[in-house]
Amino acid sequence: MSETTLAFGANSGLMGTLSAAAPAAGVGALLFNAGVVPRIGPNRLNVRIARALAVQGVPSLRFDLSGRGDSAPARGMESYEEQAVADIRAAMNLLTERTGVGRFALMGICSGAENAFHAALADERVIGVTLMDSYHYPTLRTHLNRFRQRARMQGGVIRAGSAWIRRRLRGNGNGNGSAAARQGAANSFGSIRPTPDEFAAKLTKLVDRGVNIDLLFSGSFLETYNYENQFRDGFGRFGIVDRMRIEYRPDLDHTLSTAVMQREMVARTASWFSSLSQ
Amino acid sequence: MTPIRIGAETREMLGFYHAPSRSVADAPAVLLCSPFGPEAIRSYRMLRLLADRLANAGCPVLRFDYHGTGDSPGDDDVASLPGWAGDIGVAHRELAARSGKSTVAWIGLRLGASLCALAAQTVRTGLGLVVLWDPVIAGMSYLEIYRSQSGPHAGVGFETMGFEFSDRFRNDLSTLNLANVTLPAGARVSAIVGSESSHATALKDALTRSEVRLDWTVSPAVAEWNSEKALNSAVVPMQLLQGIESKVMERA
Repeated sequence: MSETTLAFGANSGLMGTLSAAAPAAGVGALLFNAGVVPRIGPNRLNVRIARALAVQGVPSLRFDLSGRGDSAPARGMESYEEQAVADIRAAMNLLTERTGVGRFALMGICSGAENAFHAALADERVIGVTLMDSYHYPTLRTHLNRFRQRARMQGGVIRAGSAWIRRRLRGNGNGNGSAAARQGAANSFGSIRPTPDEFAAKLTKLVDRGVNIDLLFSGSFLETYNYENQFRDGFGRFGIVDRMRIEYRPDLDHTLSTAVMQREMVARTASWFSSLSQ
Repeated sequence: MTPIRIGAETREMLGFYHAPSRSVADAPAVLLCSPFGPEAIRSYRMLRLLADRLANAGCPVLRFDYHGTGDSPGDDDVASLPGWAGDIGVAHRELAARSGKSTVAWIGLRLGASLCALAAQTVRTGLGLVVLWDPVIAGMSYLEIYRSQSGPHAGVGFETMGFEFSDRFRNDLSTLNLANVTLPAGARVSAIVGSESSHATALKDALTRSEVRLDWTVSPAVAEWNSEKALNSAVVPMQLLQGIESKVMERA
């Protein structure tokens, strides 16, 4: 395996590290920022994934989106979402130029998952996406689960109920009835969560195109995702859940903050790429 | 900014060389020495911007990831303080050769500052100002911070935030006491600490007793980049970076 760090993209403003594998498989991997975490990923996860993929013949590029890590701020007037898609496309171009692969799978966490999702919609070279902790759509059962958890922690239903009412009055509710849940909510980078109908329509577009969708939910967001079949309950009516891989992993946290979680995520990603290459 | 590979093939590191944007005859070359683990991730963009500032002021700058960290080759099992202090020496020589500058200033942040102090014991040729930015003074206390954050897990003895601490690395940290490290006589040292803690006072006393030329600053803002509030923010403390740039550009 060889690793090369290089500038690419418009005005050579993007920076990434290419892990080349010989012989290159048919699918290349793109790994990028989760929030403001640089291209190495949370606790170096992307570095470990890239090296594991290289061992099985999958070339990858881990890179910084515009304005993150070692990449220069964007010079244009594109929105955050448009710029991220443009950056990911530039990364695909580079990987094709350097390794010959023409199909790509993207692995994104948090805002990185949203960027991966938008890029998959925009570019047909994307044949697979792992979206870890992307959009959450709590159901009634999600809230009941959370209420029960709080009741256990706070010593009773009455106390938990009082606390819930206080949160609602302060406007911090996460329930289905909140404006944020109905209309989507802005993340820290200003993107808007699509409504369930919008998200389902976009997922349908991707699965119809044959894109391998891997939705992964960690155990870090008990307020909004807290049981195995939550996504199925919320999206079953759209007829797409059986065409995707959906996994709730309460044993993993959002930043894969232990070595055990890191090893698990590396193995999971390597296995996913094996299935894509077949 | 140019990505470069530095060091021997068996201990390679990734670095970024920031060529000066203008020629300033007596501007020193500057080596940035990053912290470890989660702190390296938190400070990454800030140090990149500091490098840009210094390059714009006329300083050739080198940033790099110690072997086994960041985007460099290697993994957690190679972690060791003497090894990383040696990496600073390698980066120092690379920067001096690449820039043609006879003097290289070092800016070390957190554990990077402690490594600078260790490296200064063996790298004396061309060493200019050494900035100890919120240094890890007592390794045992630093280790305890990480140990307290680590959860139960199987497989290895101790790890936190996905970074595994080998027995060797733990031993290195537990015996680190910056107040016992003797910096070369005559070295220019600028230490910036967040408070006059007992550890900071011990370091100040030790540096004062030594024969270094010491500039001691206490600034609560020195660690703001490392706060939980700053964790998901792209905002960097420009005033602090400006202050550090001023220290580097001061004439010896």
